[in-house]
Amino acid sequence: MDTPDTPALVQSHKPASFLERGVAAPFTTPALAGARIRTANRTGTEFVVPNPSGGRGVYILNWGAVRQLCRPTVHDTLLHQRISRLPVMDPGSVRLTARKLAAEGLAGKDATLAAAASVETDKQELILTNFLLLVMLMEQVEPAGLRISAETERTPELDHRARRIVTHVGQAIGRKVSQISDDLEALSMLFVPIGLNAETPPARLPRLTARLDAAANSLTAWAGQFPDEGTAALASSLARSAFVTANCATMTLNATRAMTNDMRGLLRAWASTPAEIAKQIARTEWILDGWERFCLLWETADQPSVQRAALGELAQLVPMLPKEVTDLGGHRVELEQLEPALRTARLNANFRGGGASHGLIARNERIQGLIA
Amino acid sequence: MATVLTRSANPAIREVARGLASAKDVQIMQVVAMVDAMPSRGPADQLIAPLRGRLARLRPPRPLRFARLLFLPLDPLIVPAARWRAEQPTIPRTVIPVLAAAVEAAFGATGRTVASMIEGRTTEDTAVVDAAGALLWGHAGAWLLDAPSPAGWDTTGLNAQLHKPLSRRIGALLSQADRLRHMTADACHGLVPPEASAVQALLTDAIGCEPDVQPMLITLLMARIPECGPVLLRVAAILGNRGGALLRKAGEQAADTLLDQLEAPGGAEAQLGGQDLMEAGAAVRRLTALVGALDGEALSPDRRQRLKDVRQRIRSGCESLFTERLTTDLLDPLRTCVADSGPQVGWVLETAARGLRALETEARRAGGEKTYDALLGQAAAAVREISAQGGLEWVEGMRLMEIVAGPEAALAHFGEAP
Repeated sequence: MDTPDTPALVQSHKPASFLERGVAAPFTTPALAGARIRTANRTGTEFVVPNPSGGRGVYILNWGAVRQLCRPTVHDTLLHQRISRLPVMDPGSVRLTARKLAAEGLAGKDATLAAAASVETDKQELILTNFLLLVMLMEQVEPAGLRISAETERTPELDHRARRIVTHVGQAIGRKVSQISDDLEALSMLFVPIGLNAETPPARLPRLTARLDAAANSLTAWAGQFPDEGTAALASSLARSAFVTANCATMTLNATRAMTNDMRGLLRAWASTPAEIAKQIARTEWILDGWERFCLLWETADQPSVQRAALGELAQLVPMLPKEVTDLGGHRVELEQLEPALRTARLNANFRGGGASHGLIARNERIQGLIA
Repeated sequence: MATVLTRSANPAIREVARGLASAKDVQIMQVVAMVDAMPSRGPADQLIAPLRGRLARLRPPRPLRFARLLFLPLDPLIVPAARWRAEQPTIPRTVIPVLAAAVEAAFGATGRTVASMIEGRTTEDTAVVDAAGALLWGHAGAWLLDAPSPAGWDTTGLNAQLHKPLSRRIGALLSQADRLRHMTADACHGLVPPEASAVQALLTDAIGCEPDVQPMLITLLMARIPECGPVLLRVAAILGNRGGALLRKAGEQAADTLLDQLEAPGGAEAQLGGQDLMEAGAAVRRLTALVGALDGEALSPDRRQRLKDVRQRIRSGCESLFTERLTTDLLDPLRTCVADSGPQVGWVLETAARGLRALETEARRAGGEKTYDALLGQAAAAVREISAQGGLEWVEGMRLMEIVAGPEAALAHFGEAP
């Protein structure tokens, strides 16, 4: 038994930073459920794999060791190769890499179709975000009562006014018109998943935050509905992690969107410290990284038996918040409380390795097809 | 004892039944669908009787009728009346229509609600089975515990005195049907074995209704969730001397019955099959687990030999099933692939290949490693050949090769580093 003076034999994984936590990737190999990938000095990449026994701790493995632990699918092998070649490994770039691979057909039918659809959606959202950031800038510099809305029409008169205002702002912050245009486009790319304080359908990350909140509520309700089950405590603990993460995401989403309340200030800051601004905007993406799969697994579990089976898998997927978010906007996050209640491995530990593993790969590919 | 009608006295029906014995699976499915669609099956039912073994293997969706829904949870216990023995923990098929009619008549409005819920549905509509069953099984179980002898009992071919004990045992089992169905569903999703406390509660409550039900319940548990074996031993230890001894004795009876069922002509083979290959794989897993559970150190030489024979039959059955489905579901459609077949064809082949691998992975537990290696080798060769001919796109070939031969072989063949 552990005492305060004797550390547990296997320590919990408590990453200090998002980079140490690694990036979630849509691996389809059942043994890599919940595995994350991060940069490593010596080997280029390394995997953070949840303890396969279901207990505390993680395995830190290079690709060679991953291949000793399991037989990665062709999809995962190629995904790893392409991620390894990324200049910057973050949730956004890994997501795009996985989507390109899926579009080539390597993650199955559903993912192929979803990848094609989301490329088009992202393109439309980028155009809209770019336009609305421009309208926001115009309304802040020279208010004319324009709606910040997806319905706002782009007219020649509006374009003419926009050019005049951008020239004026450029002069004020020491940027050329073409540079401001590039800056707005670069910022738009970063704001697409965040969305704007505008009359537009919710963007990807606000939608995910709402789904995470709903999953947390559903898990709490499940624990109440089946209080005698051994899994009720696990469901409650998963709900707590999901709630805290959804709250953190809501706070950072609001803070990020608030940056557009002063578009001139944002453009000035972007011109001087783009990396810092990009980091701030990407914070929500890092917080929510890995939770979409969690939501999908729970959302697609439609019967109590499937839900019970899903709970054990969800516990493997919970991304621990790193210590760097302990203080978030004055709200202290108690990380100790967020570790899922310990799971126990069942006697059928080989369930995922037998004939069912072929079905699980197909299931993982279907889940990838549902990822927005 | 009244005559048990499993063989028709009508020469025309006998003639058709003889013809059906050599019919193809597709034809059998068509005949069953036609008979099932009849409002009153009457003598046509006798056409199906000799086909039950094949039907168990083919598992066509059957219309959800009141009697079928009522006895669905007890399916592994149901035997032809001719094979039924009073001392065995089984249920003769002939009691089903009689007891179901009595329950339906006694249930009035609830019976009508259940009937309307299941109208036009089949045994594959699991959500309807769960919902209607939850409404029916518990109440029907309670009613059957003290049910009067129903009209038409003589058509069962059983002595009148057998009604009460059979009805009480069926009642006690149905009172636990909902719980048992949940346990079975959990097992299907890998949540096995059930907790000892849950199994103990199930046994205690059923025995509280009818003490003699124990062998039947254990037979049912073992047939549905063979991984229960060690759990039952733990429960026996918890129950103490008398309770534990009774449980162990009931376990012996259950093991004998299950072994008898597997040994019966077509008994083991009937459990291998189903339209869905993933489900076929799960069925093989359950069957091999059951044979494993029936094995043990204290086996008599006679039973050891019987189990060995059953194992051999399962192995042959699995090899035949895999060989047949590999041809019909993968190799034949693969050979029809031509350039520009479209991605849909590849996706269908992938589903079939995954199902075959699931079946083969489980079937290897019964033996025959070399056979499966050779058959999968043939499949890989076919994928290679059709890919080379342009019948499969690069990605289709890669994915199919991965499924049939593994990711390393796929990467190597298509020139990617592992």
